Amino acid sequence: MKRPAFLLGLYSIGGQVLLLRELVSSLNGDELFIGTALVGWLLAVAIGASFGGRKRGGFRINHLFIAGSVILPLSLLLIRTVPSYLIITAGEIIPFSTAAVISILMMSPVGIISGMLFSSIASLGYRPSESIIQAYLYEGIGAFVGGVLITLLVGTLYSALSMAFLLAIATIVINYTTPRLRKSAPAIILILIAAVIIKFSVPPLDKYIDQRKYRPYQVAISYDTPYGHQVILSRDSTLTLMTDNTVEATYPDLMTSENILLPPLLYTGDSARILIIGRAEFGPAQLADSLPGIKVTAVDPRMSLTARLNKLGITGAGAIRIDDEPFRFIGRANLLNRYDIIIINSGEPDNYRSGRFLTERFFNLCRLILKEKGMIFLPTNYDSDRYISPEKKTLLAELKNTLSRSFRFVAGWPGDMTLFFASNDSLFNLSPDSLIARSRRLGYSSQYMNDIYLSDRLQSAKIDRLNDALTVTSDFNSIDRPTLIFRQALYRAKTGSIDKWLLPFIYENHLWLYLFPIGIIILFGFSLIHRQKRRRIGLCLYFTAGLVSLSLELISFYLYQSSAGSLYSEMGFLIGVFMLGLSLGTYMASKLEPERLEIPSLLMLLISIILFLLTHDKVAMYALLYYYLFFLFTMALATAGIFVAATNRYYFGRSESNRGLGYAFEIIGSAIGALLPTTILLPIIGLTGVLISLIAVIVLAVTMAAITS
Amino acid sequence: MERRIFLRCIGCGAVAMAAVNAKIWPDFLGGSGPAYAAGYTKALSSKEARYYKKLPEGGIECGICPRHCRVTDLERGYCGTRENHGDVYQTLVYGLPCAANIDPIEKKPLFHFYPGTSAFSLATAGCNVNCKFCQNWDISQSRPEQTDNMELAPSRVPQICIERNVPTIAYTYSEPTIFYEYMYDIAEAGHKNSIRSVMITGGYIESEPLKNLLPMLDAVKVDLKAIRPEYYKNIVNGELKPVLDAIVQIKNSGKWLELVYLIVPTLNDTEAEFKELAQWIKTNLGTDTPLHFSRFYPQYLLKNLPPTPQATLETAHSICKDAGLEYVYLGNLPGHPAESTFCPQCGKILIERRGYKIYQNLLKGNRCYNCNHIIPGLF
Repeated sequence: MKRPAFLLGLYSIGGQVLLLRELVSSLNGDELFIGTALVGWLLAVAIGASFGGRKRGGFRINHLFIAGSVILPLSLLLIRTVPSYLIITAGEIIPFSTAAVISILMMSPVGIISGMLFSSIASLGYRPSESIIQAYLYEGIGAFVGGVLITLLVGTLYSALSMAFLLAIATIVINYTTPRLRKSAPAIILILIAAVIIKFSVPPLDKYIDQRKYRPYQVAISYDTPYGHQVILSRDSTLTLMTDNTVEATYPDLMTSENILLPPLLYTGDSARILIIGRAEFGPAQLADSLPGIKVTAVDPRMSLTARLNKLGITGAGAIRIDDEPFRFIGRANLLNRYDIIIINSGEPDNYRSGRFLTERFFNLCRLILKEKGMIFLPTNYDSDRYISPEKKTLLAELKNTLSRSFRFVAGWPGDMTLFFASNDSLFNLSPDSLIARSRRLGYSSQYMNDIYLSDRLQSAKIDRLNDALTVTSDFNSIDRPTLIFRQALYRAKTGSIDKWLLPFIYENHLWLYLFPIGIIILFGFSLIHRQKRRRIGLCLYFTAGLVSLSLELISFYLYQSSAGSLYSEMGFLIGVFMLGLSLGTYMASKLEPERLEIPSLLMLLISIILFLLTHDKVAMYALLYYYLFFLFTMALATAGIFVAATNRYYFGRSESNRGLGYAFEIIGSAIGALLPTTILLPIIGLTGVLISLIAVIVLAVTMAAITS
Repeated sequence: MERRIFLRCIGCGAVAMAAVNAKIWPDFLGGSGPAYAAGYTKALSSKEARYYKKLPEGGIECGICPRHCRVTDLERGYCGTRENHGDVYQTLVYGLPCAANIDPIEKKPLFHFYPGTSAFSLATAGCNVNCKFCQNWDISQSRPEQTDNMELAPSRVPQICIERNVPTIAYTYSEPTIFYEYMYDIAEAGHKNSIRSVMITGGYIESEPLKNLLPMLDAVKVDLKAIRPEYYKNIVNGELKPVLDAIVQIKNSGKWLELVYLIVPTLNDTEAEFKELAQWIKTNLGTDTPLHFSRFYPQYLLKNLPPTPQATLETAHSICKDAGLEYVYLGNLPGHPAESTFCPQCGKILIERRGYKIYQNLLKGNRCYNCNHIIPGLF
């Protein structure tokens, strides 16, 4: 049982991460989408586990592993190609509702097989409680290994598709290999040979698929970064950088470059040290070459494109390029070398990853490395030139309010791209006429920032309309209540015929959310009045452990990403430590008296959440990683204790039970945990509200466990 | 505890929680004031629309555009701005623009119509097509109750123009056909006050309403979105033929006409299409009709399509010039020579433009300063 359970962990976590990554990349996913895809995955696993558990003796494990190994790369290929057949027009966005259905369908085959594998592996032992615990233990170890490997290898050595092929081959080979180390050498050699072949044979396939997808364009370069998939397209002497299937930058595109670099210079003068958060290789760096006295540094965590672009004939010697996470870069920046201007060019806040640069915390960080009269400049893609829709007003107002919490003075420019400037110095007391006069004195002949262009853009009526729009709400975007990405989701939803009804229903009609607490109360209540209430509460504990652990895991990732950045190697450690905690917790708990396990485990979880609630925003930057590692590990230990206790409650003395049922309850809890807290509740009731809700669920579980023990 | 009692408790709890719902959750909506009117309104107009007929079987048929929507009681046409109330078709947007700005006339773009002047530009919500690349989709694809609208009576618009020294009113951003009645009445009021009117349209309008409207207008700019019917079907959700008919009708009316062709990469940017376009203009409108090629930027549903490469715009320009069109311009490329007007006879630059800025206008009346060639348009 040990080897298949380990292999299941490896395959299952690998499949889940690769499929999710591919779905987000191909379908422009936001957090709601990720939540939906995760729910699809978890429900598929639950169905598979329940189905597999009904068959006496389970399915043939070897067959399931082979089927899973074939299905995983096929699913990835389908995810890449299916959107091209669903849209009539090249370049058309896929609405959330369509993307959600695709994601559920695409996650299902691998999910169902993972679930069937779990219950089939759990059927291998004689006593259900022992075999299930063993399956959890070795699955956790496999997941730890798989999580760390996937996170470290994808985007660095292998593309997502390469990794799927490698994982598939490794799964088949390991499945048929003897567990003895001495005899497994041929298998290891086979996997290494496959790794080398895949390394060189799959990237051309990646490029071929991109070439088919972007057919009228030439694919100049296609590659994966740890953050997603990027393609550089070439057509009619123009290069386009596609990031996760969306246009990130185009070269040449003077309008955007001038909008990104020139406006702040009209306030500060044309001699400045500028820090750009985001890519600068496609335009701003080249424009910086034309501006005397400007020193541009660009920081972006994704790999440098300079060498690749040099090959394509684009150079931008004017910018210093730093491959680092902006949070980390600012944390380590030399405070004697401060900047005059920080340009946040992070794109629209479509998800927490891009939205993490638009929080009060990040603006405060930026303030540390700004000169006394320095400014933040925020170019947005929101058009406020002719009209500002109610949804856009709220988005713009929140951006302005967030800036206002960190800086005393904030100004906005209307236009095709609405621009925000923020400073602690009264730099912005300049009339449009003065700005126009300054534009004439720039040491560069501007095409889009000339006097006529500015006098149209900065008409008093347009400025008044924008300023008016900026007062529609006092809400601001914070880590505690990240409202910006859900405003963005609502704004984007207006373009889809189903989305425009569905998303407001999800985010603005809150009544349906009551179904969840009511459902939990009904679940616990019915279990309590059931004649086998002691056993039934076991299923509730499964549910509680799944709900709370996945909620907290996702909350931790969100918080870590929002306060420390999004370095993938560290995220790999976080996931790995959580899985390791689950395994170790399962092992340790299986050695203890089951009766003495559940209430201490629940209390341990409760205390760790309370401590987390009280301390998460008081941790110094350098200690953040250790803090989250410790929290996740503690939480995983407690969760494992609950799993073992639940298993003993429900399965003890019942050899004929459906060994997938408890797993299915856990998965349903996890599915709710994946969908609700970080994607829906966080913007509505905030982080504190979410954590208190989870505390309430645990208190309920403790009470029920105490009553029925 | 019995199950029945338990369920009853749950029911009571749910009702109690629902009751406090409105108190707990924050209100995310807000409102604010507009630029040219005293305040926003959510009220809709009930003015009777023109060009519709009652159907014998009940309901009405709209006749303003080639879509000919058949609308039953309390339903709306495709545009979302005209509603049937007891078989009286009403325009919901009369006097209720959501956007109003003073723009350079070059922004429309109209290059042969009083260069260097400005236009009071306004629009209401709604549109009779659904272009996947629409840059004003916030306006055009909204219903009037979803936008923030101003109360602006037709008679007030010319007054604003006089107060702000603006010689022209432009009906633009969304499709003016869907606020026909409002446009007509403003144009009429404008003419009484010597304020000109220009219509910026997709040309998807029926012949009869266009015929009656044209005397009120001074110029029309038509967005000819493509020269192939399948593009209109798949990307615009309209039809090509009625648009071509409308363009010819406008030209024949003697009103000043300019065309814009937005080049969307991969969708309407082949050399064959540019040749067909040039040939059609030459045959049906004459070589002196200005044609603007405009640059696409990712918008609305086509957010994942890159902007039009400059080289594609230049190819289109040279094909049309080679085909004999005399006034071919490139838009959204400031500093490009093809933004300026050249004399087709002697080749001298006559109006030098960069973006919306006129650097020099060397026309003598409507003639070339060098060779006296007549330049068509209103200068």
